[in-house]
Amino acid sequence: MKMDSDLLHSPAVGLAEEEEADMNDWKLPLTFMKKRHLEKIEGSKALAQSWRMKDRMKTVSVALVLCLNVGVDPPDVVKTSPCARLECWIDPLSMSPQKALETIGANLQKQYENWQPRARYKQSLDPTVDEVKKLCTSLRRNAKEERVLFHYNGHGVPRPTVNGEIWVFNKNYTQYIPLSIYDLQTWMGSPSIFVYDCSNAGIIVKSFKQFALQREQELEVAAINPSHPLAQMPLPPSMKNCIQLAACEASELLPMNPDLPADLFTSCLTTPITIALRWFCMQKSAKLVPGVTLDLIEKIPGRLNDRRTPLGELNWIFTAITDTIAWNVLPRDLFQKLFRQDLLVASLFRNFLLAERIMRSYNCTPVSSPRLPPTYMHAMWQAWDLAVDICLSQLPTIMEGTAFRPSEFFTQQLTAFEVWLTMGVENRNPPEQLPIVLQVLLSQVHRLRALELLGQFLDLGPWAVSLALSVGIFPYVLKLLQSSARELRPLLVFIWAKILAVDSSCQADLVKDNGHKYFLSVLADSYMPAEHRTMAVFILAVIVNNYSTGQEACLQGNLIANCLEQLSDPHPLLRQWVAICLGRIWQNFDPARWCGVRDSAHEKLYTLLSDPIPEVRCAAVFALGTFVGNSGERTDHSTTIDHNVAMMLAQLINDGSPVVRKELVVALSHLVVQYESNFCTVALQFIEEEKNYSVPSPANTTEPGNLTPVRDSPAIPRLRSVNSYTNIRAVTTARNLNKSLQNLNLNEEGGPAAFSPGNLSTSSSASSTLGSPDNDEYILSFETIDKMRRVSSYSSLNSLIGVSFNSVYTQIWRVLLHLAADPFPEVSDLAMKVLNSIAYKATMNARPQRILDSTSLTKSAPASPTSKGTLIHQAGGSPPMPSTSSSSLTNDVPKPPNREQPATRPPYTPTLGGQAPHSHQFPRTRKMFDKGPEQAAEDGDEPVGHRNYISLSLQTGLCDWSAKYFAQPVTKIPEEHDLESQVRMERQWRFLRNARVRRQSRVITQRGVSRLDDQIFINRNPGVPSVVKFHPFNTCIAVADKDSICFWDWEKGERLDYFYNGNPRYTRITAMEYLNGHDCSLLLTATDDGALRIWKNFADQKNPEMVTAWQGLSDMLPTTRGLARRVSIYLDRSKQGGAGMVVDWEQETGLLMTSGDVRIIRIWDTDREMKVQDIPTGADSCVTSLSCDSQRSLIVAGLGDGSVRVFDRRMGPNECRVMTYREHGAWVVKAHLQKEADGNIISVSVNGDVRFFEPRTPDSVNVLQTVKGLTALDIHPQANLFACGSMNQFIAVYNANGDVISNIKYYDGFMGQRIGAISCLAFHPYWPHLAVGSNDYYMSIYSAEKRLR
Amino acid sequence: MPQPKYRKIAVLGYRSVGKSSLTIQFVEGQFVDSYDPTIENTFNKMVNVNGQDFNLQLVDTAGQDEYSIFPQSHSMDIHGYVLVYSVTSMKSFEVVQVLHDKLLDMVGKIQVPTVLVGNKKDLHMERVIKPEEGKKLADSWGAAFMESSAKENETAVEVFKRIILEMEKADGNAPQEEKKCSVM
Repeated sequence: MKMDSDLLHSPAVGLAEEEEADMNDWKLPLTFMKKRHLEKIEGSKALAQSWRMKDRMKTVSVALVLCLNVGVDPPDVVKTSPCARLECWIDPLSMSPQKALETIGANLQKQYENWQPRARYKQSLDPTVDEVKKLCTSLRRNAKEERVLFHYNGHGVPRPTVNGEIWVFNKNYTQYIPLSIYDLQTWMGSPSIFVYDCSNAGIIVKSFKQFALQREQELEVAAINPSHPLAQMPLPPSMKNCIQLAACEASELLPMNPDLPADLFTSCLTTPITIALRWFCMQKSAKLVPGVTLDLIEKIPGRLNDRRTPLGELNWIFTAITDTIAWNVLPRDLFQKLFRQDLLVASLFRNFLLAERIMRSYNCTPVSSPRLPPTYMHAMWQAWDLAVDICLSQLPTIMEGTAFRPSEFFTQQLTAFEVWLTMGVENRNPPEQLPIVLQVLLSQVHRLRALELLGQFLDLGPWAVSLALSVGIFPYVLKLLQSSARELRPLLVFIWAKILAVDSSCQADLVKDNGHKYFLSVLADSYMPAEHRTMAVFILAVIVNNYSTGQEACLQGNLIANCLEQLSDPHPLLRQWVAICLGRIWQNFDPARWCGVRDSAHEKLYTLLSDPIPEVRCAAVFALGTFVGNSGERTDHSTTIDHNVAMMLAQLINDGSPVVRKELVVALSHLVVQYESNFCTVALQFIEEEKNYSVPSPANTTEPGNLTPVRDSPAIPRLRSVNSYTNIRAVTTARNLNKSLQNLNLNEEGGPAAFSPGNLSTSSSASSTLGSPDNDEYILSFETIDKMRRVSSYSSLNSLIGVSFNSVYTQIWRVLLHLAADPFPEVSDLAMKVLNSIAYKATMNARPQRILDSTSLTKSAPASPTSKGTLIHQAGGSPPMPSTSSSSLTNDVPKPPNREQPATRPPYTPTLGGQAPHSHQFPRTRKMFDKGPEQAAEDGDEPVGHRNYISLSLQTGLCDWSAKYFAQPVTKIPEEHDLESQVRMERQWRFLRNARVRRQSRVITQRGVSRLDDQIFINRNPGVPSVVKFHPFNTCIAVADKDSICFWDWEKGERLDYFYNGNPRYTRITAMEYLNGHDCSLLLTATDDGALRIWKNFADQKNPEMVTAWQGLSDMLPTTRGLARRVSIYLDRSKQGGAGMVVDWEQETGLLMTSGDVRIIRIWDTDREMKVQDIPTGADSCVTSLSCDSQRSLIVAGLGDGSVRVFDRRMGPNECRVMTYREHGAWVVKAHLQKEADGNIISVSVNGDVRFFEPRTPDSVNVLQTVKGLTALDIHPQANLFACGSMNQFIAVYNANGDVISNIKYYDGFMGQRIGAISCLAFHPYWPHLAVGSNDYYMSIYSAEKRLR
Repeated sequence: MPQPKYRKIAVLGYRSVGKSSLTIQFVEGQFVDSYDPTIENTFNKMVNVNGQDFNLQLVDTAGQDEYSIFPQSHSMDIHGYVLVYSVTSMKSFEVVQVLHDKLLDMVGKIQVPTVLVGNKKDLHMERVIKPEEGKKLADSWGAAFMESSAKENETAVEVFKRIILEMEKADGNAPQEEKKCSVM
């Protein structure tokens, strides 16, 4: 035994090795740490669509009311001399008063028309009250629900009064006539916008609000008191939606500076650039640019609406700046309302910001309602001043003919945005420049850069998308889809994927604008990188999701063929989304399904069922599920296809990923719904069969109404309840089922073996010979589900029902029964729902007749039984014919069922939600029938509720969950790659800890362990320890009893956690492994029914959670198992006959070897969550011990017949057994393969003979004899020790030479009590610690002498 | 019957002292209690004073205040002025003095035919200007004074008869004739 490493470890060498060890930790892959294991599989919360304007509207009518009375100043305003005179840039005194009035009116209209050319304009010049009334009411009548603008110029009338009046004229212009704002409100109605350009305009705003309030109160009174006069009148419109813009505060006069126009406010609102430039020239700063005069600025070349001219550019910049200020300063909802709802309102409010800035410089404060926060000091105005300055400074040279130099403004703002994106911290305020990015999208010059930056911004997460949508990005990016520029494609696809991931309601907008065609062409473009094609297909998948118009459009666009071509793309995400997209396009859409059939889409999808990526398999299952779950008419052809697909799907029954199996249940449930009557028949048969085989057990004495599967009540109250685990589950015996599946599919490897109807007919005969009576199963039958499954093995349903495809339905029924016992709770919950619903219907349909049979004996039935039965169906909307019923079913929009949560359920187990109603449903049914058929007919709505319940709840959320990928940052570096992140720091700490444990333990083991009997821990375990496992690096030890796991801290001596593993009764935990022990530890438990469960969050104050669970082995040999179950587990293992399930774990490769009471060694790839290999052991006996070495790809198995077999897993299944040693005469307790490159095999049998084999030689190289009657043995990998536990209540520890170094028979302290029979023992992988569990419930740990430690 | 004499009279005063009410009461015989500020209104009325017909043209002006620029139109072609204040408003009494000064400035005479009217004499409770104060001011101007109420037709008529007499006096048609006649 050359395990002694004779190397002397100098400190330097030690250090080097320690560093190396650290690096190895970093390199070790982690398993079960993917998103699908860490997250709940569900979509993100739907975004409240705050960005989309529910009430987008237009201002369609404009009333321009001018009260100028040119030549006569109002009595209450004392004007300076000279005074501001210009009205709409016209001096009223420059022409006759009447002409002036008309010209000003015409000009005002023109000024407004710049902003809203298509409105209906009506001028009212120096009007009377009646004229105003006529004008307002007629505009409101025409505008209907749209907005009307009321512009009031009161420069020629007295100031508004505190009583809420403005002034107009009498017919002869001899008097000013007051016009009450209350009346104006009545005439104008809502929605309206009012512009008041007059002194003390703030008074009007105040009065307006008072009157609005008054109206509300009157309305309330009228609503309460019907005799109130208002109650009979049509309701006056609410004034809440009205907007007001007033030139000044209630106490302020308009500025009279003769350099300014008299209607400064109107000028700001309607001719902002002109007034802004003039105002700029009047400031001192303008003097810095010589030669710029008021005359000159009137000559700025260009047009306002041409962005390439100086004037147009200024206008564009002005728009961008005012929009930006508003977006940054205003609350979001107010911004939406004022700046995005209505084009004219938005323009007026943008210009209002300018009015505030300019008029405040003349001590005049424009007022708005709703009130805006002050904006006149915003820093962006400086950017505006700079832009104006630069433009004006060019002016003299441009006049001379020099070319105009465009402004740098937008480029600079984009740079600012870029800086924000790249330099900003994680949590920050939204970027100021976002609205400018939007503006820049309009310009071809900046478009590409803007889109790039926009994409980067959207990638920050859903909040960024909402922000961008709220700023109004949507119409722009929608418009850009019409662009044919190839360079924009990746950017647009990215942006749209981001948008749709957050707000899928945009599907309608896309289809309406033919946007889907854009993405169809991107998907078909093979030069496009796979990432972008993925996004394109994601977008298309959103477009066709539950949206028939989108499905139609995409079908026309050849989406199916397009998708099918990409099914085998090397990019997994693309494969996944192509499959989801296919599944969605033919969901409830028959034309697409038939298109799929023509292209044999289902057969192409079969390939993906064995895809290495679980999510892809899931997506394929989803697609096939909706393929069969279509509600259309069924022909023979389609039924054949459905059966074919169903049987292909059924092969995934033992897939390693619960996500896939969940999807499988849902897919099968579609089939169940589609062929409901067939399944009802099958269900009835199963129920009948079960009754026939019933024995006097409590479960079987219940009435027929209770025949459907019902869960047991929560078990084992002493245990800490664990997520999703309050129920005992039926034992999982998939044996019969699997056999039948093998019969059906010939090839269990899960390959895409074509499945033709021919195969089906043979299989139907095969199914009749399925299974054999098995008494063993009979003992287990304590639950109805299990009974059904058991019964199914007896029944020869073919003889009873003459349906040709019966076998398929029976098989699928069995698959569902099997899935109902899945080790992963969510899977079994889903399967339970499906089974329950069908069983419910089956019993429903069967029942009425029975009742009438009984009633007819005593009295005459009120009506014929059959008609009553039909009546029930009709009332419930569930016709008895399967085809129609299924169509009505899937088209229903189900309402959520009324679920009652049992009080016993822990509040943190939301996943359990589905099971309660079943037990709850049946009393109802019974009541129904107790009351007789009449009642039943009245109660007809109940079946609907129940049926809705099924079709509603059956979805896995996988697609929505997958869509979250696009909502989350895609380009961001993951947190764990950030050297400063918490995750990274914790990991670093763990690896340092690991290195310390390795180093210190090595020091001890190298000194040599001469004794190992110091009892450092002892405690009574809650159950009899069956497996013990040290955590490799921390002070935690896991101790499993039959169905629970206890965690102890062996240093502190305290219990950390104890939870229920969730395995059914009559099964026990036979193996445990720590996965990712070097980092984020998970615990794997294996039970002797072949189920594997993986737990996280144990022993750290959190609730243990199941990460995943699956059926690691499905064909446990019955002969040994039966015995195992009857004999108490802590007896001598050699006499038990069963090895249970044994596992070995390779962290380096992520491979899990499983074996036990089977004739194979099954290798699972935990990365793919798939079975990768089945190695036949070539023996009739069970495998009792497994050991593997990743370096040499060797697996050593010890078997129950005494043989030790060596397998090379690189070779084919038939030649991979490279060595067989038959030197042991009895049950091998342990076979161990040393991990060194030339490591030997050490094996021990129950007879106590320890044999050393060199893998290349056919005979043992060394033999040692220890005690007989071994029950447990472990080998210390570092210290060259092995410990034997005996059923004769002692432990012996041997060194490499076979010398006993310690012999433990009594507990310390404890009055020297004799230890119990040893049930299990294990060495710590590094420390010289030995954990021992014995059948007296005690768990103790022994270590080397203190001086060593 | 002698030819009716054409006379143009301007009614001046602070805002809302009752210029229009007084005028309308005189012209139409009715009281307007709503306040619609006047821009400028002209009324015509034939009235007989002492057997002489007068074709009166009454210019009801928009209210003025102390800062108002006195419109030139009010100084030309006007034969007499009715300056109105409200006995309930000190402000209006102050303004009426300013107006008188401006008026004299504009007309360029030291005296024009004027009647100072303290209107709203019916509002006893709100009175702030005593009749004596009005009388004193009128005397200082050499003008006639009276208090009136636009609610009563009588006082309104009295006001305009009085200004006719004042104008006649200024024209040198001293009322002696009438007095003679009356004596006779």
